[in-house]
Amino acid sequence: MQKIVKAVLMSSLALAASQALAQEGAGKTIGVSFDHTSPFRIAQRAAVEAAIKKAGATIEFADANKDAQRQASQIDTMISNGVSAVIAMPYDIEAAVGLAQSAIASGIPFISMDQAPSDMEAVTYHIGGDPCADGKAAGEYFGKVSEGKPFKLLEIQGGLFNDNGLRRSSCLGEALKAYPNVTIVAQVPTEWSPEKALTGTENALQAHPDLKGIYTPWNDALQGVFSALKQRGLLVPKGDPKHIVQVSIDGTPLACQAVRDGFLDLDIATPITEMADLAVDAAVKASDDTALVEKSKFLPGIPYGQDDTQLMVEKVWGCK
Amino acid sequence: MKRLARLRQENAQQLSLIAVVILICLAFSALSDRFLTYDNLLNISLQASATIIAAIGMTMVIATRGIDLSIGSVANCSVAIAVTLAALGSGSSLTLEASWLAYPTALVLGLLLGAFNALVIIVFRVHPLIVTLGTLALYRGIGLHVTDAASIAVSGDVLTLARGALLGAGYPVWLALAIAFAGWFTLSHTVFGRRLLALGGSPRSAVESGLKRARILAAAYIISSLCGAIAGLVIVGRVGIIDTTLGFNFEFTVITAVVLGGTSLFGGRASIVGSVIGAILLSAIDNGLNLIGANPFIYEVVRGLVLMSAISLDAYASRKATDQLSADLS
Repeated sequence: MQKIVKAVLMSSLALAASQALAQEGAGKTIGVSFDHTSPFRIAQRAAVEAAIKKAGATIEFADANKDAQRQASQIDTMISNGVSAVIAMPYDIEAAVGLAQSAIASGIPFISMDQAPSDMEAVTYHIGGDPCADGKAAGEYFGKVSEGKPFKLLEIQGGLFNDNGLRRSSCLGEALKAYPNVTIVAQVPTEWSPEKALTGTENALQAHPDLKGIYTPWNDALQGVFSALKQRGLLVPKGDPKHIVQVSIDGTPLACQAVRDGFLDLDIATPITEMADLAVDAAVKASDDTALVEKSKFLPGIPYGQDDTQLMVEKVWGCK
Repeated sequence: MKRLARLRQENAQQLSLIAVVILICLAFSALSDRFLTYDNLLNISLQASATIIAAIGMTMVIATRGIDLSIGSVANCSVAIAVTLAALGSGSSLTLEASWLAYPTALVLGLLLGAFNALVIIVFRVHPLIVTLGTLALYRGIGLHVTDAASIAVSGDVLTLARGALLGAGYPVWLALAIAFAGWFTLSHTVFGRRLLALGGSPRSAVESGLKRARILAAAYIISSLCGAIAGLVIVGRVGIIDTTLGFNFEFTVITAVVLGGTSLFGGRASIVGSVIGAILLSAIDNGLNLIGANPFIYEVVRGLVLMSAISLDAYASRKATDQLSADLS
């Protein structure tokens, strides 16, 4: 409940900020560099475009397609084109530091969004989800539903070369320290591939037919996990004795549907509109040399389950 | 005598690969009692099936001294278009319900994409590495455009190929075996197979002796893309989703399987059986690491070590065979 209130407050603040921001960005061009294309990133791009439009600025967009070198070239081009500020989702968290230094040395503010660089001091401002809070929320959920009984958990892992992948994993482990009855029986690295999530789940079910829970730290892998469960007749909704408890993160339309159908117990939706508004707000202010109140902000996700009908419609981007 | 030496060399390569497979199996079965079970071996075969299918096509291409970096993008593009066309008017915004028509459509698209690769390689005489690097981006871009880079759940008859089973083994396993047999037969027992190897072994001599280079190359790249499209159908059928990661970096897995299997990147030497074993070895490593609950950071280390061991053993065995040939000739 506390998290929901926090998320609502955060949204109101972001809304107020964006209204004040309207037209402050007139005449400015904001360079936006994405690390790759995915349904989640498409929704984020739409939110950033809307926020930039609301600010009266224009956008110069580039997609690095999972190539750190390409992202560096694209940002260099933005700098030489004289954009007012850069908003980037770094593909490589180490390379992002150099990119930020290069932009700032040219007098262009550098805002990192969603993926935190390895050195937060290097960027003008960082706005992102809170992968640690999301991982902890997932761990606490598994702890609660296990009710103190032995509980075997499969952890699917995203990319282990970026902040979201690493912290969604490590903070799950931290939260589970309070629940010694919950054992992570396998950690499957997937590099964000649903196919690897499928094979990892198949393999884990071979080794542990009595698996009780699966943590999938991004929604696009769910279909692979569901496919493996379906093969073994284990894809059944909540309430069925064979049901395996599942928690995921992102809030995509497919995950929202899975929550409604009872296959996914808990999803933690990223507040993408608020994130985009705050990134553009920081970009516009910093390009006017206005001092930013804070250096970074991490927005916790919005946890929702099958019974949170109202919350889904109002706050979860994939359910709207 | 040369034939004997070549046979020795091929056997040495396959024996060294089999030795690595046996060592890996022994190590994993010592650490997990589930590894060497019938169910798990079927599981590994099923997981390796898409890589085996693509590796057959890639073996043909590498045998000609070429490479096909676009195979993962062919899988993405052909299946994305085929499923979208076969699902017109059915499903919802989140799910595509595709009919069996996706199968022939994907195959025709695979054929066309392979023909385009071959056309550019042959007509403009551009190195296959450059051409397929270009089409890797081009085909992936088309696939992303068709799906709007969305994650689309797939249902309907298009899943049958990947989800059905016969005699306990999934259809993809039988399909991979059938394609591997066809590939082995073609390469070992047909004129086309001999010409393919001759072209890879010495392109200049092959052309001077009257072989039609263009036809052989075109056939190799078309077969490779066809195999890529079939592998794509298997992957999508198994996972049940088309998304941006479909076929991403697949070319590296496939090339690794082929090279592990003893096919020479310099052409003229190819082994379908080796490619099949290479693909199974890669799946067995992931499977074994999953079963023993290995630290996630160790996966790449183990893959790298196995690859290096197989290549070193292969190089050592080949050198012994060459030394033996020199001794026989002297």
